[in-house]
Amino acid sequence: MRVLWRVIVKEFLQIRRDRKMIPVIFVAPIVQITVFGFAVNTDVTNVPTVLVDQDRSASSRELVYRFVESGYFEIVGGGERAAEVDRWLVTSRAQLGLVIGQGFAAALASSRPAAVQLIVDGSDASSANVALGYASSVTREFGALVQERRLRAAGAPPLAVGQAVLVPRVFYNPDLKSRWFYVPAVLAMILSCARRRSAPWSSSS
Amino acid sequence: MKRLRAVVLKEVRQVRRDPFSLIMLIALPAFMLVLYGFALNFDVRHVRLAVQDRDRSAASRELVASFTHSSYFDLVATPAAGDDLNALLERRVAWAVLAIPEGHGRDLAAGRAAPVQLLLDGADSTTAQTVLGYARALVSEQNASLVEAALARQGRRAELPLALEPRILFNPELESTQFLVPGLIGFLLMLTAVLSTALSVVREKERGTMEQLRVAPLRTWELILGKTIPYLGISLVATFIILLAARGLFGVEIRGPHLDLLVAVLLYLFGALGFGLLISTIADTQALAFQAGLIASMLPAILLSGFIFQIRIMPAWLQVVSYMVPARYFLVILRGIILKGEGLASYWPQVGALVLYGVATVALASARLARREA
Repeated sequence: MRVLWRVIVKEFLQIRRDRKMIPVIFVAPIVQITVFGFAVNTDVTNVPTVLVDQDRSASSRELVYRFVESGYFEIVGGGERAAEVDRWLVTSRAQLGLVIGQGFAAALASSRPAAVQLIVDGSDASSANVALGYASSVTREFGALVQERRLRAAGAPPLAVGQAVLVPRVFYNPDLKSRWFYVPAVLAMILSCARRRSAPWSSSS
Repeated sequence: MKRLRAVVLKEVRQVRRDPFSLIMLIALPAFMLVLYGFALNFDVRHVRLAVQDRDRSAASRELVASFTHSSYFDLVATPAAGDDLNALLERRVAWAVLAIPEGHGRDLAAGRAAPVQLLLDGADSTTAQTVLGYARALVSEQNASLVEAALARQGRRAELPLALEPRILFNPELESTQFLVPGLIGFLLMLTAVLSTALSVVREKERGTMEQLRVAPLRTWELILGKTIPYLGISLVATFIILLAARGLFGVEIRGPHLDLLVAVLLYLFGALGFGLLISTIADTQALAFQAGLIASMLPAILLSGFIFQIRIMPAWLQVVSYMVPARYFLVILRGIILKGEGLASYWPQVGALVLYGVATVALASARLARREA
């Protein structure tokens, strides 16, 4: 027991003598957890989106408004032609291109189906996947709204169709904040860095 | 020139005499790539799903079938009414539980909203979000077909008036490894390059051989270049092995010009080696150099580079900090060349930043070295 005590005391003396090491051991982890704790976030919001609206109609603007209003998309630029979107994606200034072709409003007003094109930078697969999901639910909702308006305009009786409603209940992390998941991991990473005090390939430590 | 060669030769000999370090420098990055490459996979498939169908109607069975027939969900349990659903999540039997209450089919037939519950383990929020997205898509598809059926009964056109046509560029299969492997390369190169130079200089200090180098007829830049060139070579070999492994194991092919990739890697290594030198002018012991190198190079290259966490959504002050992390620029270039098949020309701001970083670190390091000599 006394021998153990001696060794512990010796080790502490040694740490204290190594003045430059003390801030590395104590201050660095605190700074790191503050800095990196803010960095770890994989929530998909404000996806940078380039807008190519060739239709420039009330309907196209309404669709764009619905994209922006959802909070998941942020229009960072615009273009005239779909080909321009590629430059934005290649240089990573945008992750999505929303292309509304000419005749969008006309198609919606008639009974022809209208289409919008979504050009996705798929290199970041997981966020692209989530963004794609948001985009398709925004368009689907808009489509349903247009359909409803059409039916009403045609004087059709209201459609009596029940709809299943998904009620999610998320355990452990109800707001789905990615930070809650990653901060413990960062903590582990920092601690494992702080523990390894000597180089594995140094011959004199 | 002759003196420069002498320093390089000396350094090469020293490295050769220590084969363990050499193997560490060359094989470790490739090994870590394999390890992380397989471990880091954000693709969500085959989520373990438990289904509690208390309704047992045609409508509820159809909804369940749409879940179990998709490749996203695997049915692992069908708890009876009254079973403890939370326990399934707590014991990690299932990742998600779909609960359909009694009267689901009746509500749908009556034209009412029919709630179904999805219990979800949210600890891993990224996966949970993806799973939730899948579930929403499946339910709304199911709803669309209900509407379609009702419209058809009225003798009307059923299709939705608006369709989304997604076109996915660069990574059409949406595989996460395609995105993560370039990021891994950036972080592994940073780590080995910084540590190897920092340790090589500090080792001279520890052994007292730095004095000999100082009295040798050498200019500062000759000493610095001579010290870094061997490690540049080793790091290039390591890069080559990493790229080979990435291609063989993960199918990550380089779509852009290879020469541009080489230039980008050289620029990045230049900065990393400069940073290693800078650390070596501050640290006196190998332990400290190792520690400082690890903290200052590894964590920023993982966390502040856009490797996994997008810089765009960080707080503004942290985004400012990230401008000082060379991996941030390197990853944009690397992903551009490897995944998007672009050349360096598209990334001139990033290239400029790498050059600036390299020049700054080497200048700072040589200034510190020169001051000590004086």
